[in-house]
Amino acid sequence: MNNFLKREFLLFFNIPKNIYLPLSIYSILFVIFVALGLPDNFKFANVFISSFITVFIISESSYKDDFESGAIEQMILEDKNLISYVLSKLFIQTVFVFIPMLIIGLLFSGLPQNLSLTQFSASYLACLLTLSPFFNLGSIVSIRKNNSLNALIIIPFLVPFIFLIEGLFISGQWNPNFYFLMAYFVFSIVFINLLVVEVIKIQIR
Amino acid sequence: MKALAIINNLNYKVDERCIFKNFSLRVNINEITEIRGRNGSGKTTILKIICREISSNLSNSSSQDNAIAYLGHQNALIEELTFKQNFSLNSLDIDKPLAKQMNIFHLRNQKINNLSFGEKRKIALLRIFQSQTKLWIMDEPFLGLDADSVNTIKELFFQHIENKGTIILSNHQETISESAKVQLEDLSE
Repeated sequence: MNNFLKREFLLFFNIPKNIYLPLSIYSILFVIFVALGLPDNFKFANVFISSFITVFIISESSYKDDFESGAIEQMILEDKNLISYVLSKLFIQTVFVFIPMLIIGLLFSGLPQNLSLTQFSASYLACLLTLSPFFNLGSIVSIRKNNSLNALIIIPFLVPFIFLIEGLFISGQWNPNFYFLMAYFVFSIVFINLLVVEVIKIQIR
Repeated sequence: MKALAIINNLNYKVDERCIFKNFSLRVNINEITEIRGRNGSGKTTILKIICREISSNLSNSSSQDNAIAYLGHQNALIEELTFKQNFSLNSLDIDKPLAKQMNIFHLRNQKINNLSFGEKRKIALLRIFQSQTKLWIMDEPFLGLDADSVNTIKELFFQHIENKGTIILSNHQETISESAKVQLEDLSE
């Protein structure tokens, strides 16, 4: 695990575009929404639309470079622990991209009325960490053929997620939406990441 | 000699195309096994079978350490990073004498995308040579290398065998004199 964390950290640290590209996309989308002067009930919708699009875009390149360079093939054939690789990628993405996104969101939009800073931060990061494996799954499934499979796979997973987000951030009902979101988060982190690992192996074969 | 892996009467098809028919193979420990054959004859597939990435009737009959150092067709290098940074990703420091012997030490601060195909291949090979594993599996290791570099790499292969190592490689270029050769049939016709 440590070696993978170090690898992902160095990849983000030495290739700054891995950090500034998603953050610039997120900020640009955010500025567009602010410039549109949308009504108050759209205030947090824009945070999540920007986040959706940003996570979708970064997931497109999450595994692509390692896949094309042969690094993933090497990891599999050398019998390295792929789940550590996938989780390390997600952890470093959280530190370098998701947490700055949370800060940018807070700076531009402030807090929703019914949520404290801790509640908002926890639920927003849980949202991003739930979304990311879904998009990564779509991305790895379509890695050999650049097709629309990505979007098709993700849509069914997004439906319950969108209702939870609406309940939490627009209607402001912390209970039970947050707990359902945490259940969905655990499902995504455990099950979807395992699925990502299996699909990576199939793609290499 | 003790066997590392044995395959008996393997039949293998990909999309109805027959790759192996009653194919048998024995890979011995402390030996170079060279898998030769035309394009599409299944050289890479055999390497993946030995790595157990493709299921087959392969049996391991040795107690040698299972760790593998693998080099595929691609070099597994990040193009935007330097040679040195690529080694740091794998928690490795460049072995100066070895890199000098392979004539790549002077490239340590060069970005990979500025290097030639052969230089990239030598960097990828250096990672294998520094890996501390007994079993090296390589897919076309001499791809893009000049004659001098091929000779240096062969010398390093022989040193690994002297150090009780085992090498399995696919190769359609110049043969290695002291190796067990496995010729794959072309079943495409």
